[in-house]
Amino acid sequence: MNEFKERLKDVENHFLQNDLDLGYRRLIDLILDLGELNFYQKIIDYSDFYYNESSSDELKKEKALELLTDLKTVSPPEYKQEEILISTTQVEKVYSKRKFKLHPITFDIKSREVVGLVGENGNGKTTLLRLICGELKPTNGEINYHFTTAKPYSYELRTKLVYVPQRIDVLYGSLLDNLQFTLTAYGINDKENILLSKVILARLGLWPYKDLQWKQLSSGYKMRFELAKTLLRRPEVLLLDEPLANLDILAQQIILEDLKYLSQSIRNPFGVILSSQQLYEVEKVSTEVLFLEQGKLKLQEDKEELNQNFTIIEIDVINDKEELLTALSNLNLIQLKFNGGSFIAYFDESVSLNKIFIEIGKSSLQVKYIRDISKSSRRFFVN
Amino acid sequence: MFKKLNQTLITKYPLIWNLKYIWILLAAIGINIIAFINGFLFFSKKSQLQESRLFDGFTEGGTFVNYIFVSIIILIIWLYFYIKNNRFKSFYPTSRNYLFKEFLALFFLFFIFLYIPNSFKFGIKYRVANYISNEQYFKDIDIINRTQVFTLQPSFGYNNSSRYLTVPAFDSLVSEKETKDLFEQNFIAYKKQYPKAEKHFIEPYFRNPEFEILLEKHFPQRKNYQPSGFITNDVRLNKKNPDDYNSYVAPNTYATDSAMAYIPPVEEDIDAVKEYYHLESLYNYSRLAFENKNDKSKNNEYYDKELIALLQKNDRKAIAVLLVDYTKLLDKHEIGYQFKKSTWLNYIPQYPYYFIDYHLGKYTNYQNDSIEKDYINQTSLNEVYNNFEKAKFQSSWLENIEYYMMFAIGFAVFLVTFRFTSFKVWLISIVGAGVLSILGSVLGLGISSIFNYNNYTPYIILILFYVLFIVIMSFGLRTKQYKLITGVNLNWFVVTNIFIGIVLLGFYTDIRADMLYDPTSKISIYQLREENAELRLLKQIADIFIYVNPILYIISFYFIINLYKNWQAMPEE
Repeated sequence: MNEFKERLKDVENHFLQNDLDLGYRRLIDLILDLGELNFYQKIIDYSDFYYNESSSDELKKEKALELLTDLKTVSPPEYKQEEILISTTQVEKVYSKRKFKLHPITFDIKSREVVGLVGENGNGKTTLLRLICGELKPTNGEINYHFTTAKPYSYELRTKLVYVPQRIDVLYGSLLDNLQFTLTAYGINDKENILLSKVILARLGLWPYKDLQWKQLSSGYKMRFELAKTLLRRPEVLLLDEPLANLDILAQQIILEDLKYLSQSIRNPFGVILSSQQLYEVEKVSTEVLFLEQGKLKLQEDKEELNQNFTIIEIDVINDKEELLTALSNLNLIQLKFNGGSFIAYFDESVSLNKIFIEIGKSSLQVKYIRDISKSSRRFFVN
Repeated sequence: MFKKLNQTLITKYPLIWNLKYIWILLAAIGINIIAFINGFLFFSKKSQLQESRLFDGFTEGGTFVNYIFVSIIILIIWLYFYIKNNRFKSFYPTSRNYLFKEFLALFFLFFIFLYIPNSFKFGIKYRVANYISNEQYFKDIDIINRTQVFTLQPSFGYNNSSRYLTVPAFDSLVSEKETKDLFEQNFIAYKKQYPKAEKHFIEPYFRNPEFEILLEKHFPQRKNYQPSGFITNDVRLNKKNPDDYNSYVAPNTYATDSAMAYIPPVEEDIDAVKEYYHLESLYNYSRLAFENKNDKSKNNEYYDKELIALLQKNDRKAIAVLLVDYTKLLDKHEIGYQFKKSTWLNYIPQYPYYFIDYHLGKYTNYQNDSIEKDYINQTSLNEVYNNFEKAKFQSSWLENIEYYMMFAIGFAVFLVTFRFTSFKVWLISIVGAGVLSILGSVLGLGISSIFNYNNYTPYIILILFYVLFIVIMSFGLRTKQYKLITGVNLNWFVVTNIFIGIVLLGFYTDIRADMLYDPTSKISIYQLREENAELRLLKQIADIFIYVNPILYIISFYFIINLYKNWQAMPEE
C-alpha cells in the first residue's frame, strides 16, 4: 500500500472514531498533497458545511467519508523521499560588541524533520536560526544548503529559506487578500490562487475568520495566519523563532501538531527548525531537540551526564516533602529537588517507572501530575 | 464590482494591487481635475484680464498651500495601505523588472501630483481662451494694431530709428548718399580718438543718427531746449565717455527697439546748452502689438504700410473711426480713458509730417492736478489681449515639466529607498546626509584655508563623496560585511545619481570657461560665457540635459536594483 493510501486509511479511521477535528485537518493535508483544483473546491464546500452551526457531527462524518471515497479513486501523488536539506559544520558566532558567543554547532536537518531548539532566553536560539537563514554570517564554520544551487547570502536563497521572527510583521488587508498576494508572488494565479488560499485558511483553522481583516485577529490566530502564509511559500526549510510565545496551551499543541503533519507532506515535504521554551510540547513533535545553554549545545556537551542513566521523575503532589520522601523510601532515591512547583526525584537507573507507580499506589500520596523526564531536556531546567 | 476588480488585480497585477495604484491614481487625477476646475473658476472678474500674472494664480493667491495640504493627507493615507505589504523585504521571489516597475509607478504618481499647478493654469487658460471667440479676437487685435500708433504713449517708436519703410515726406528731404557721407566723415574723426571703434552703417539709411542730424536742418521750428517725452535715449555720444557708444546694432531687423546706434557730430560741444529737435512723427511708428496667428500676411510690415498710406491720404475720418473702435474695446473691457479738454482726435498730429506735440500717458502718471488728466490706458488693454493670446495660443502642457520630473524622481527615490532598505538604514541615510553636508562645508573651508578657495572646491568635495559612496558600497556588497554602512552608502549613491550628471557638466563648463578666459582682455567671464561658441554649446547641452537627466536616471535605476537585491540578502553585523 502506498503512503497516500495509508494516510487515507488513517483519516478514515479518525472520522470513524469521531475524531472529526483531526480527521478534517488531515483530510485537507491529503487534498493539499493531491493538488487538484476540483478537490480544492470540494474541501472548500465541505468547510462551509463543517463550520455551519446547524451541521450535525453525523452529517459531517458522512460527508467526509464521501469525500474520502472520491479520493480513493484518484491516482496518488508521487512520494518525495527524505533528503538532507541543511548541514551545519562547527558553526560558531562571536559578537564583537556583546560578550555572548555561540559555540560550534554541527547538525543536519532533513525534510520531514522537526528540530526543536530549546533553552532559556539569551542562550543563542535566535542567533542559530538567524545564522541558518543567512541573516547573520558565522564567525567560523560552514552552513551548506543542499536543496539549492543558489549562492550563499543571495536573494534567491533567501526566498527558499523562510524565517518567521518572534515579532511578526504587521499586515494590512483581509486574510484572503494577503494569502492571494503571497501566492501570486510565487506564480500561482487564476483560479488556483483563490482556491488554495481558502484551503490553507481552512487547514489552519481560520475558516470562520476568512472574511476578517488581519488586524481583527487575536495574537494566536495571527501566528496561525503567519503559518498559513508561510506554508503557501512552499519553503524547503521553515525557521520559526518562538512561534508558541503568547499562545495558549491548546493553540500551542495545535500549531506544533500542524507543523509536524504539514512538514510530512507527500509531495512537498520540508524541514522545520523551531525555537521554544515549551519543552514538553516541542519534544512531543520533534525528531531532534537541541538544548542550548549559554551558547553551547548542552545535549552534546553533557553526554557523560546523560550516560549516568538516572531515572528522573517530575512529580507534583498535594502532600508535603516529608510524606513524599516516606512514600518513596523503599526505592533507591538519590536526590529530591523542589523545582518551580513540582518535585524532581532522581533514582538509580534500575528503578523503573512501574516500580515507582507501585510504591505510590501503596502510599497515601495524592498525585496531581507525574512525568518521566529521564530522556527529556526538561531535566536541564532544574535548579 | 470592486471585489472582482480586487481579485483581478491581486492575481494578475499584484504590483497594482499592492500599490493601490488605481485608487491613488484616481485621486491624483481627481485632484488635477479639481485644480483645473479651480483654475477655471479662479478667473471670475473682467478686471483680472488686466493682470500681467493672471496665469500665476496658483502660487500668487496662496491656493497652492491647500493643494499641498490635501495632497499630503492623500499620500499619507495611501502610504498606510501601500507600505505594509512589501514582498521584496519579505523575500518573496521578486524580479528586477517588478521592482523597476514599482519605481516607475511611483515616479509617475508623484509626477501627476506635481503637475497640479499646470492643471490649475489650464483651467484659467481654458476659460480665458473661451472668453472671446477667435474671430472676435482677430478683429480686436486688428483694431489694436492699427490704433496703437495713435495712443501716443510715452515710449519708443516715434523717432526715425524705429521705422523700416520709406516715408516720402522725410526721405525726399535727406538722401542716402548725404547720410552716408556724413557718417564717413564722423567716423574718421571718431576713429582717430578711438582706434578700436568698428564701423556700422545701419540699413535702411534713415535709421542712422546722421539722417536725423541732416533732417533737423529742414525743421528749425522743431528746435527746443527740453527733451521730448517720447525720446528715451536722446543723450548723444559724449566724446569724453566712450562707453556711451553703442557699437552694435542688428542690421535690417524689423521693429527692434535696439536700433539706437549713434555717432555724434565731431563738432559737438558737450558744454554747450543742449538743443533738441522734436522730429518724432506718427510715420515712424513701427511696433506690432499682436501677431495674427491666423493670417501671417498681417505682419508688422503690413501694418506699417497701412499706417503710412493712411497718413499720406490725410484721412482723419478713418482715424476717427479707428479711435471710436478702440474706445469701444476699452469700454468692453472696462478700461479707463478720459478726455477733459478735447476729444482724442484733437490730440492726433496733423498732416503732412504728423510731428507729435502732445501725448496721452498712463493714468497713473498724472498725479499732479495741474497737469491735464486726459489719458488712454493702452497698457491694460494690451495686457488683456496679451492674456487672450497666451490662453489661446501658448500651450502650458510641457511648462516646467523638467522640474516636475526631477522632483518626481526625488520623491520616488525617497520612498523607494525606504521600501528597498530598512527603516534604520533609511533614517540614518537622511540624518547622515545632513551631517555629511556639514562635513562637506567644513572640508571645503579646510581646503580653502590650505589651498586657497577656488570655484572648484564644492565640485571636488561632491565628487570625492560620490567616489567614497561607490567604494564603500562596493566593498560592503562584495565582502558581505557592514550591512548598515553599505545600505546607507547605497542610498546616498542612488540619491547623488539624480544630480551628479548636472554637477559634472557644470564642473566641466566652469573648467573650460576658466581655460578659455583671458584676464587681459576686456571681456568679462560672463560675457565670454554668452559669446564663446563652445561655452554656448555647453550651455545648450546643459539645457537639454535637464530634460534628458530624468530619463537617464530612470534607465540607470534599472541596473541599480540588483544592488538593492544583493544588499537585502546581506547578513547583518
